[in-house]
Amino acid sequence: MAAVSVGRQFIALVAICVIVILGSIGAVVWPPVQAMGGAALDTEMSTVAPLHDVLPAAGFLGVLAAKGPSDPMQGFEYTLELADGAVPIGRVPTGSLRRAPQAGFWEYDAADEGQSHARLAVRQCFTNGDCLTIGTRVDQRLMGFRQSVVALLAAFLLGLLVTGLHVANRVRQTASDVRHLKDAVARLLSGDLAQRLPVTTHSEFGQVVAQLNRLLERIEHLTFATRTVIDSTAHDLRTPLYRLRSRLEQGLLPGSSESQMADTIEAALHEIDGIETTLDALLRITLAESGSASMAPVNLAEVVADVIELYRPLAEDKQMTLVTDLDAGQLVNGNAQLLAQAVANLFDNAIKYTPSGGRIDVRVERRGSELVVSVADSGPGIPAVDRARAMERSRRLANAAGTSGSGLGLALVVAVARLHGGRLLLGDHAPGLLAELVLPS
Amino acid sequence: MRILLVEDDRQAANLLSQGLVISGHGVESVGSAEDALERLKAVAPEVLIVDRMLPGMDGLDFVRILRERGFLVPVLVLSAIGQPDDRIVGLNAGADDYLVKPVHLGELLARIDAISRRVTSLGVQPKLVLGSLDLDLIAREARIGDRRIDLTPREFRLLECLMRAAPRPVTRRMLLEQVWGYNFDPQTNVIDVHISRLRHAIGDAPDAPVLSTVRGVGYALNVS
Repeated sequence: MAAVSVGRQFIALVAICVIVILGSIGAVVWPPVQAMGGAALDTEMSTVAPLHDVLPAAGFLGVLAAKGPSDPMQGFEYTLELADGAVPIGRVPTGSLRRAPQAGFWEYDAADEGQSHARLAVRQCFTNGDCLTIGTRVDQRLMGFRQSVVALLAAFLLGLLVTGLHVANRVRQTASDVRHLKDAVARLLSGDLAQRLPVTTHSEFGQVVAQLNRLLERIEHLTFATRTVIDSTAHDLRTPLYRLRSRLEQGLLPGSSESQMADTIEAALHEIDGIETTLDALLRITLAESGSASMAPVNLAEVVADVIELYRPLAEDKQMTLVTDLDAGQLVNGNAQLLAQAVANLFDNAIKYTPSGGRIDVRVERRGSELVVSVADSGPGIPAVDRARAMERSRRLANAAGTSGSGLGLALVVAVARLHGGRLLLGDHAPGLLAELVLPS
Repeated sequence: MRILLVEDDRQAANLLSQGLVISGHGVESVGSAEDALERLKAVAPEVLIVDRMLPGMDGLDFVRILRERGFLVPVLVLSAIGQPDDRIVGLNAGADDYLVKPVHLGELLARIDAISRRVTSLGVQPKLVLGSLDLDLIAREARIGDRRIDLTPREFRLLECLMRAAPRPVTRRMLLEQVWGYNFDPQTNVIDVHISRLRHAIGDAPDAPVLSTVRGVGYALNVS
């Protein structure tokens, strides 16, 4: 409601401003304009004409003669034609009078300083046949200028009015947008996250609303992701918890020998280790996704070389060929531990899924403004349709069942890549998987 | 060893105490950092185990105060928050080691052992000897009797860690931290492969130490 009253106040303010400006301009500009125009001629005529019937002919002539040219901007000029055809005063060339656009007025041309101007005149004939013509000495072109000033002012005022109305309309529109926004936010707060805010204008306000919509999009996506994580975590944990419980229940059965008890406990501990591994992996993904890990310049080739060194014996045990090509000295702003773990996960997968005697190619290279760690293996690879799913925080792919690990390895790599402003690309190494960790340098 | 355990969760403290006592340690348990400061002089612990999240004073602040007052007692900090940077923060506060809950008793015992020894053997040792295994820390050379064994720098550090702890076991996580500098656990047990290579390098001469796997804990070097 407050927003609406602000809108109304603004409209009122604009209206008051327009009226005040119009009034003051009118008060200042109108009188002289009046004086210049036909109204002044009418006044002069109504002042002078009555004297004709009151004064003797000579007296009237005297008055007109005395009024002669004085102020060129204000003065008038006269022509008196007597009934007998005599013209004792003949400043206005009555022979060349023509009808003026204004009703009841005449126009005539006069030469002034070598230039011809149109002048305005009024004419009155008396009962005795005498005719008096009064002309303005003011140039009609100057009058035209005055009129254009008036027209300009009017246009300005009209423009001001239109602008004011437009602004007022915009304010009213914005106020109504704000009201809609408020209602939409209220609906959002009540839990309907699928709700989007109406974008009614292309103004800055509209842009803000559009950005809010993108924010909502992201929130909804994150909420969905969080739900998915909770769902898959619950699913991932339910199975080992169920196994843990049944093992412990078996251990409690009467008649278990001491060695059976020990086996039960051992098996239970193993299940717990698995649960811990899963939780740990999830926590690390969350850490990477939250963006709260500390960053420092990291030598990418060194990180990769250390991980290779850790895994080399494992690869050698599987008679794998390990080919490395590390572009040394490439620095990336990152978290060394998380980067190492990401690379270790790529490596772990490559070794795990590649049969004995296979080959793994590891590369650190610069591609334009990006650094790429690529791990290519000669294993079965991941079918194109499954690649996106392989990077999700979900259960392992069907053909990966039976191998150790939390199944969250690639999800962590994705999270680490995102933390560093990069991405993970999975491609076909034909045969095998090509995993590329792309990082901005 | 006399251990002062600072942990506000009574149940966790009891379970931990029991485990430590069964393993041959003497444990006194307090519920807050303030109580710990009070009891410190009387108990004179050889090792302190401090939970990071405590009512009142925070576990890390407690360690900082301890160090400011000049107590050199080894401190192991326990934390429920498993973030890579936490570890660095913990060690910077003056802790000797940092362990994320849930705590495995074997892991805890191995670490208590390691940090208590780290302080008692502060002087630089030029040589580590175990049976016929001879580790020259200055020349970076390992010998079994007269036979020199070829080790990569990493394998040398692995052997050094095991020898310093011997005959007590060292856990996989400890090795990852101390030899590789990693605070994460690789998905595959890669350490196992390194250990078996080292075992192979040491060989099975009659008086050579035996590198054995301690189930559920880690690896230990023993003279047979």
